[in-house]
Amino acid sequence: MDILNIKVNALSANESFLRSTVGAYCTRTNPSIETISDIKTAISEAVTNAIVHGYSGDIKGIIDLSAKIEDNVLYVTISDYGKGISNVEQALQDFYTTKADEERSGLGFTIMQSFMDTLEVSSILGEGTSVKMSKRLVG
Amino acid sequence: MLNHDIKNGTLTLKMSGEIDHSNAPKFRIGTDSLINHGGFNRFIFDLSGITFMDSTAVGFLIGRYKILKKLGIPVYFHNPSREADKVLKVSGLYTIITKI
Repeated sequence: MDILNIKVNALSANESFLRSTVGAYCTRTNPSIETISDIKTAISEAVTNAIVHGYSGDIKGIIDLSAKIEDNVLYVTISDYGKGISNVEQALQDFYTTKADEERSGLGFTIMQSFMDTLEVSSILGEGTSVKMSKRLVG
Repeated sequence: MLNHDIKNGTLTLKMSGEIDHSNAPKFRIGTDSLINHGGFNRFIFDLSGITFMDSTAVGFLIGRYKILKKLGIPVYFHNPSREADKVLKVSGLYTIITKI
């Protein structure tokens, strides 16, 4: 049993806080620096999505991060209770963005998919979005 | 952090540290002010000092590329750190901006 649960407000300062925390949490299994770096990038993408899209910058929004390490695999879920995604399939496409005018690249999910082993996105309009990812840490 | 120098018409912008959604606006303001100042005909992003970047940084780089392209100024990447290189590869940015 090795779990981690964190609840934070949707503040952009929490992007670096959450990615660094999960990165530090994973070091107990002695993964490579590259593996940690990949995980930090994917976490950053999911947290940024919650802040920018889920809550549109409303810092009262809550982000829940839960993680566990089981048999050297990291499982992490990042949830928001914001506006949700109307079409998840479309959101997962490379370069798709609803905020092109803000210089959003539309590559957040592409990066999560490339940097992690698995990615699952579930969303209900008006209720929020949950991003589940996993990655083998060693071996 | 941003450091720059202009030599023989080339502006080299050295970006260092972490770039994400929380601090991208600072990088944007600093870089756009340099671009508006002019005095160069070639632009190089030196990414050797980047310790973290995500897709927000990619959006920032594409945004600057578009501005410079409109001005007819060629843009290059130089010496990306391992962290920057992987994100640039996955993003396909090397197909529009050459690494030198």
